[in-house]
Amino acid sequence: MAARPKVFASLLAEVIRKGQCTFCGACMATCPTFALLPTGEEPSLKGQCIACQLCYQHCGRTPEGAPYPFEAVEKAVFGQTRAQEGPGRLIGVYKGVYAARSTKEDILKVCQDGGVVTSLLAYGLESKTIDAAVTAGLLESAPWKAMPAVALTYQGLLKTAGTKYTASPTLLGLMSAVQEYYKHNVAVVGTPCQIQALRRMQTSDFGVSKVAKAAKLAIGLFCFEIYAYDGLMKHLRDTGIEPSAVTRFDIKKGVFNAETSGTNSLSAKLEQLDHLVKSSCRICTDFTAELADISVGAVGAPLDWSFVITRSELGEQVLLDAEKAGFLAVKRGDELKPGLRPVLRLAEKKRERGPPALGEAAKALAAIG
Amino acid sequence: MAMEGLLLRSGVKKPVTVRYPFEKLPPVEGLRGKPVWDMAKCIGCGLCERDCPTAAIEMIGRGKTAEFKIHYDRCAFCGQCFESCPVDAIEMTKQYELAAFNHDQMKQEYKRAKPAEAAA
Repeated sequence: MAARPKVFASLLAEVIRKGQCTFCGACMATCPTFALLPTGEEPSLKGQCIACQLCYQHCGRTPEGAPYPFEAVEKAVFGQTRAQEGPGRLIGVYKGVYAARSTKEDILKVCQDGGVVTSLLAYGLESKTIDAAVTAGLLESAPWKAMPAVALTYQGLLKTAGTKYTASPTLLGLMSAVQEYYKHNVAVVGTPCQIQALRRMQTSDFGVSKVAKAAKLAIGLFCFEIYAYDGLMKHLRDTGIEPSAVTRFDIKKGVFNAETSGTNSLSAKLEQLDHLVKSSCRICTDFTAELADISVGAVGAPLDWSFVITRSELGEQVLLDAEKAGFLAVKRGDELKPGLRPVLRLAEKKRERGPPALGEAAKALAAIG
Repeated sequence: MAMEGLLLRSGVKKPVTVRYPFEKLPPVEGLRGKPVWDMAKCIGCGLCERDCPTAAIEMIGRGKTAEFKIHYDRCAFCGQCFESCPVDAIEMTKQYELAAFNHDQMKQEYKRAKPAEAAA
């Protein structure tokens, strides 16, 4: 039992140096001495480490070589594991699928697709279900550099709306909401990797992080891959676009668009940008944020609507309450077009691209089912 | 004249205090009483020991096998250990009657459950 403690150095060797760090911020958020700080797109040790091992134990990518324990976490979070057949195999535990769109004009002006996440958070803040929302905002000192933001008001939420295609240490924002704003009913919006790390913090056998207990609602985003910040900015400059002039990034039908206020904008097939994809995304198999309370994405919904998967009682409740309170318009059942099929296709694609062993397993399962 | 009125009134009113050792008031919200360790949650990081301003926390070992000897006679009930604990293993209870006749009685040890006991 006298194994060497898994301190930050282990994390550095097994995850960060191997390019598997998703920059979700879990290690920095869970560190009780606030010794870890972001440097570029990686955490680094800047303070005094007390060898508590929390950063290693709460990382979504450890232990080395072991796949993320989806089954155990699903059991702890949802009380059940996913169905082995049908859509559940690819999108995880779910209660219902919907298409939704915000009914608030000012949200629709700034949002990415249907403004569902912003509206859900706005409803949560208004109804006092949550007292703070942690989302990805933008750093002012560098163009399009994603940084977590803590929104306490409707106006604050509007500032953080819209998708950023670079990594944000969102869980660091959760730490800020708990330790600096002293909020204990927090909603966290994150990509699949961030939600995975959050659930690890909440369900770890090693110890449950006090910070993560405050995250009462987890809203997941569909995510296929994101781009390394430096690479993406360099690519933009190389194609003659000043990053600060870009008003909006968007991926639609396999094409990456960067719209600018001027005339020159970038439209590139995703294959052309493949070399810019963050290395940690290549081993990820989770497309629909399978461990969140609610997952939201564009795929599967009509244009300017968002596709919503509710997974937990709480997630379902929040969506229906937000609809009742007039924050969202919701389509369900037959109105839902094109529906689940494209979501499943992308989920399958991402799973196959993931670690070879997992891809094989998925194929084997598909052959049986 | 105001003074007499006041005296007269307090003479007929019921007292607000209670006869303490025989009657007890419920502890108020936010009272910081005796801190108690939950060894099932403790990860043995040593932060409580490090942050304790009165050095009331004595740790034996480190990590998941660490055990504690708490010197409650030194404890100032400041709640710093509770704030510092990253995994909520420390609870500030409402126990406030902690007087004892000597220092030895105010020490308490927290031991890990033996693996066999935990399984049973």
